Amino acid sequence: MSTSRDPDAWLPLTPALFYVLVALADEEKHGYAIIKDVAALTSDSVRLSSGTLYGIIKRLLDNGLVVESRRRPEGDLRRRYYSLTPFGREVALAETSRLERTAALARATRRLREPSSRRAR
Amino acid sequence: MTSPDRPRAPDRGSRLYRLLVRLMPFEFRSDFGEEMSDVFRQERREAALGGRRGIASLWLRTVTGMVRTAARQHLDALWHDIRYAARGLQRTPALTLVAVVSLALGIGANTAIFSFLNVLFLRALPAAADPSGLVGVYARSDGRVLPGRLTHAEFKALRATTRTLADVAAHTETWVWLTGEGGEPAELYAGAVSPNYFSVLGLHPAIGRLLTASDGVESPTAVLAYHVWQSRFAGEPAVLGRSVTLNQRRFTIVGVAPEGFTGVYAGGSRDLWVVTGVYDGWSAGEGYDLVGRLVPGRTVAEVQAELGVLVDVARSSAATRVESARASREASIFAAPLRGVHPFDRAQVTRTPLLLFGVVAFLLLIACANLAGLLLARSAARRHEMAVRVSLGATRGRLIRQLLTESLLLSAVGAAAALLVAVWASSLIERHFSYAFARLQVGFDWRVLAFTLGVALASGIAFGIAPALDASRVAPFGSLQAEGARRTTGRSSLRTAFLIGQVALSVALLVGALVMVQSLGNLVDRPGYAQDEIAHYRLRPSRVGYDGNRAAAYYTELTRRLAQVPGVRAVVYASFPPVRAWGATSAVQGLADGGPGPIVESVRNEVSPGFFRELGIAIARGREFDARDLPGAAPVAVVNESLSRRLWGESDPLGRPVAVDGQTFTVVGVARDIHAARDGERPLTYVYLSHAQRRAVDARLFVRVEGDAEAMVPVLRRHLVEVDPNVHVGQEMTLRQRTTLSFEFERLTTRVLAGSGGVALILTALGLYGILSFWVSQRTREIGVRMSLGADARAILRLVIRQGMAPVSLGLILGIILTLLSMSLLASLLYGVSAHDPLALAGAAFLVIGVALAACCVPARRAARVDPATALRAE
Repeated sequence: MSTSRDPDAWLPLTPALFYVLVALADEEKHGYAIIKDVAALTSDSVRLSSGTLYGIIKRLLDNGLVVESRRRPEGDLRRRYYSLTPFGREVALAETSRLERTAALARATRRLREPSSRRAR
Repeated sequence: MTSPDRPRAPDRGSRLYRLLVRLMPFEFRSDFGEEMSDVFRQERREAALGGRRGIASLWLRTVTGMVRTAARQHLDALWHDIRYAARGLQRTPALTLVAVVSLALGIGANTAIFSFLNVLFLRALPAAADPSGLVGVYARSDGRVLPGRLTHAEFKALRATTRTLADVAAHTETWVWLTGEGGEPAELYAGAVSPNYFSVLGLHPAIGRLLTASDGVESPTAVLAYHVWQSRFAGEPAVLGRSVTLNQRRFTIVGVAPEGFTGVYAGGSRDLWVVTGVYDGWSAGEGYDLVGRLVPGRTVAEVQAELGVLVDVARSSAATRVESARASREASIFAAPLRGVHPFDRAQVTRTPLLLFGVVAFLLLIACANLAGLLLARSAARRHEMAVRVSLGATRGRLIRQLLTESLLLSAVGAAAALLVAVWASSLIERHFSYAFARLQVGFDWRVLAFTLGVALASGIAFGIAPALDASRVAPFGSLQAEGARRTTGRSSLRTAFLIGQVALSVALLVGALVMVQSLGNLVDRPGYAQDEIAHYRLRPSRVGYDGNRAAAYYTELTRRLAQVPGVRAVVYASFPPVRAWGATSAVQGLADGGPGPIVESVRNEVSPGFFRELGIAIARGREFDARDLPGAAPVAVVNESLSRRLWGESDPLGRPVAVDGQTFTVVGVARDIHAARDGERPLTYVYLSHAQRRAVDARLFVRVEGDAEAMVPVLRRHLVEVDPNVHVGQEMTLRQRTTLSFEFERLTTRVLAGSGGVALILTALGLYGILSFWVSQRTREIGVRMSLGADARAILRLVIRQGMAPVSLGLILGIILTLLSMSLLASLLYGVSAHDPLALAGAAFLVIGVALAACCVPARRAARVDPATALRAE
């Protein structure tokens, strides 16, 4: 499996994959915790299904963006915990700044003012 | 967070989830399956708080997510396997090249023959609109199709009463003589069709219009075939409205049929179409086949049911003479989907393509056996790689899948190249059927592509499975060393088995090729009569109303005129060419003093004076016909030796009376047998009568010339046409060309067999070379030991050659047995040579041994050059 070490080669990320990286950014988590955290991060607007989640986890593992954590917090030996690698963090940061740049560009044009009648989220 | 679940039997939801997880690839499942079930349990517990809606939305999310991810994971795995396989193949370019080329030839040959069968039997009329709705209707008697035997009355009755066919058209065909416009007079094949013919087929004209109900007998019109428009009228649109003379009647050209349409059957060769009943060649309404278009939703079986009623009505009323005749001989009418060739031809042409199919299937088998052997060698070289993968956790199934992906990738590339081979081979087939199926277009359609794909898949698995099973039977590092030695022997014996099979199949193909080459030579190069420096024409004065007397005068004048042309040596003619088995069939009976003898079915031909002399057919006893044998004189006959023997044994036949179809003749001569007998068949019996005495009208003309007959053919034709410009002159060519045309099937079979035999030989040599090279490389040390113990280079050479030739000899023996068992398939195509011809068997064995020895040489010499010191140090 070729592992590209250039974070930019990964961009843009799918929202689901991006949220998984963000969910793992503070501490290692097991699968269900990731789903819960992503839901919390997005105010319940993104609910990953177990299939989607593990599809993403496999891809992240294969490419060295996350690793299986050796530590089993809370003495839970059955579950596997995943943690972000430095490279995974780089990719997440690269996507964050890409999103910022994109948003900034769009705003700078001043063409996308929201109609006043529309409720801002 | 949560405590582990209590162990308990999984409920329905968990079981369903497990089923969903099974959608994932095996490795994904074993990596994450447990964990996913665990996550799902927690999700369910949480969703249950949200009541039914919560559960429902969880399931919806879970199912879609699982399906989508599973699809992606499978594609990823496949793509990974393919890239891995491609890299592996790049590392062994020689093997890859051999594999692709041999598969291209093997699969390509099968594709070509299948596309031929497809055109002959399966494909619906390509030019027509919605061709699957077209149905042919034919007469049949005693299970045999009678082409062009439905009556006008039957056509009208069916058209008036049918509820299953939207419309029905009648069609037949006849030769017409085109004079006037567009160059030299020529014989064309005209379709005579009911005016609704083109509308039933749903065809659109290339230019102008097609025939319609307005076209009738009063102002005759004609539609040209596209190829005639191009060749004779230079593709000019101005051809519309021009008039041509066909059989001395004027026709106005109103349009050109779409390109590629030459009749409703595959290989049809209509040059133009006119409305039935227009010209004088059209006889009292008998002689159609019908073509109908199904009412949407109706089936051929329903048409057939309707036809049964129609026949009963016709039989009970017996309105016409023809119908009562038909009713009395228990003929019937049947319907069949309009596909491929005419059902009458179907029976005639089935054998050859099926035989060819057998041949190319053999070839593909050889290619697969060869590849299996080569891949087995490679799998030996890859033991290390496989062991590494197993150590890294790859399962056996995973390895097998990977290895099969490699062989399937090979066969896919081979199949792509095979399509190119098939395009070339199809044009070869088309060229070989310029006579039996003029304008045959062996095209490719979805069936051909599906077939190619299927064959590629099957052969990929066939040659890949044994190497894959073998290579995957690998232990991880550690126990590898001990395993190694034992399994190498097992593998090499499997390879030897493949080699033996390959040699056996090659021998069978080669013997087939050798006997076919001999047989074809007997038919075409040594046909039993002189065929060089002879021009051949078919003359049909009967089509312009000649009777026997007028014809006799015509031939006298013709002979006189042609004899004056510089370069002409002699002019003779006969009802049929002397080509093998060509003529009318007659019941011949010897009339001895003691009453009539046995009846012998014989070939009959009416010939002119000088026929035997000029065509080099020897008269063994008595005389041939001369100018005295005229209608008024005593009726005379010449028999061939075989007929004489069958009728009278060894006694002298001259002067004896003989009955030919009930009429009595006196035998005045015995001609030598000229034709090679078919394998296992009695020699053909021939009776020759006098052309003039029998008042025969039509004839084949043979003009013996000095030098190149081909150059003289058009020159003599011009003189012929001058004698009477209205007499049809056709098939102008040399006699050798005419002979060759009669044996198209045999020629194609010979070429396919010879080509397959050659390729098989090369593949066998490659396989043997591969095996021996591997064997030598594995035994470098052993060879070194032997040499240091005093074996000289010659002893080593002998050792290697013995190693190579042992399986070859075994294959040879098996091949000869296989040949003896399978050659009866060829027997009907063999003339003057036995299917078990010892010379051919010896020749094939000689070829195989020679090529095998050559293949042994390189590895054997490499072995003989081994330096004992280096070899012993190496390990």
